[in-house]
Amino acid sequence: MKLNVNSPGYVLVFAAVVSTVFTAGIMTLHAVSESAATASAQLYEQKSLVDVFKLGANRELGDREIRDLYEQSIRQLDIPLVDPQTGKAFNSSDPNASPLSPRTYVARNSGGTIIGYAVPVSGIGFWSRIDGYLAVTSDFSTVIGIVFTRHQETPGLGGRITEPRWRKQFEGLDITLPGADKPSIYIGGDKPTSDDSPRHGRYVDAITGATGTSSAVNRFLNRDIEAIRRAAREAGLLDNTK
Amino acid sequence: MTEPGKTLSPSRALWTQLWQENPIFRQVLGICSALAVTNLVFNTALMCAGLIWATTLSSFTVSLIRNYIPTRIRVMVQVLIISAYVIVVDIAFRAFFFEAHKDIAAYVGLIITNCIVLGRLEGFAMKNRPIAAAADGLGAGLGYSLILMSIAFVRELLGFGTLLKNTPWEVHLLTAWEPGVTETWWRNWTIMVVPPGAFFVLAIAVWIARSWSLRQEARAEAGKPSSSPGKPEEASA
Repeated sequence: MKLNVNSPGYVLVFAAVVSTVFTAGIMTLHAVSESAATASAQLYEQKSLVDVFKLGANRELGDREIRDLYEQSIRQLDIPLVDPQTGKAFNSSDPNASPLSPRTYVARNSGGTIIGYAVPVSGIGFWSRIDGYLAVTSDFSTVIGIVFTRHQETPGLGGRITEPRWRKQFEGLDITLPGADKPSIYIGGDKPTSDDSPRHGRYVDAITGATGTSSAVNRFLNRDIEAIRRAAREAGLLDNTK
Repeated sequence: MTEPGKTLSPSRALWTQLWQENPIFRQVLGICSALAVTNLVFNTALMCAGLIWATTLSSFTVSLIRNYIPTRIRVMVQVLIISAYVIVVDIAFRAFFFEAHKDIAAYVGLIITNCIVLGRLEGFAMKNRPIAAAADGLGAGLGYSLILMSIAFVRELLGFGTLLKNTPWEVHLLTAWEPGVTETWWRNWTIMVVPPGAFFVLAIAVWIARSWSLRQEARAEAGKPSSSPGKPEEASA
């Protein structure tokens, strides 16, 4: 029997069958791979946190070691961290909160002493939103490290914010309360020339060719550092005078 | 292009697409992704793998059911089949190459509309047997990858000074290994990292590949003057 492949009835049946078969295939695959995709996203988050707390030289660590280091030392902070002035939340301590809600993490050494906090920082970059974690010491005085987990900056220019070489400059940065009307940190501009300059210990080189990204990061980090300080005071993690 | 009615053996089909009618430098198809994703070797490799998978399997599938596809809705059916395979790639990349997926996700989706894939389905798979069609798709995918990987090699090396950046196999060829060291003799070429850099490298790659293959053909024709005259007409994107 010769099939008339161009009769309207056949066209309809064929389209319906082909669509159903392929859609069903994709849906099955999607359902099967969902857990692997979630695990990858989680591992990426853990890797960023292990990196920002300087718990290991990130490059040599395998997936297993990252997971182990994370489980050993890092926990989500169990109290809310909210800036009373702007209402911006840095930690939602509700365990049922959406995975997209901000989370602050605490790292402890093997003795249980707090090494520091990794606080989510975010803002508008040159092109789009930038997300990351800023890890600070337990007294909120010094930066341990910074990591950017999501960004859309130009590769090779603004995109270099993710490079270890640039991020390394943040390590040890002084973020104690600066003088009145002074920013906490300085990205780009003049290098501090003397010890009594307000920029001393608070300066990071901007990225050449990415002034837009550098000043955007400067803007939202300063805003967030101030908010984090207020939130930490509110939560009782930081002395009221600091 | 293949004349209607004439069938090619699978190996012949593969070689034709891979070199003689290379999608990038002979047919000038699929240029969009060649410009966008080629600044890192690893991302390019993933993109190429995705395209090879999509062209090979969609060619095979379309050829398998070619006699049952109604002519009037054939392009819709082809696009549906391509999309299904591309979504498989997207799901696999998200699960196994999470970080690279963040960079190339937008372009992986665009494989669906890549002119190479649809071109091979319409031009070859609809008229040939499944194995030959798969070989033709594989050849087109490999031909695309050949050029893209060469472009990515040059762009990453000159643009970042590295190879396979952001992977465990990262190699610093021109820049220093130590994060603190910024003073080396090498200065990265930012133009290579941004899309316009691909225009230059792509043009040079096409120039080299074409002048080489044209010379080869001229030599082959001079050897046996009685052979078929001229080379097939070229399509443009």
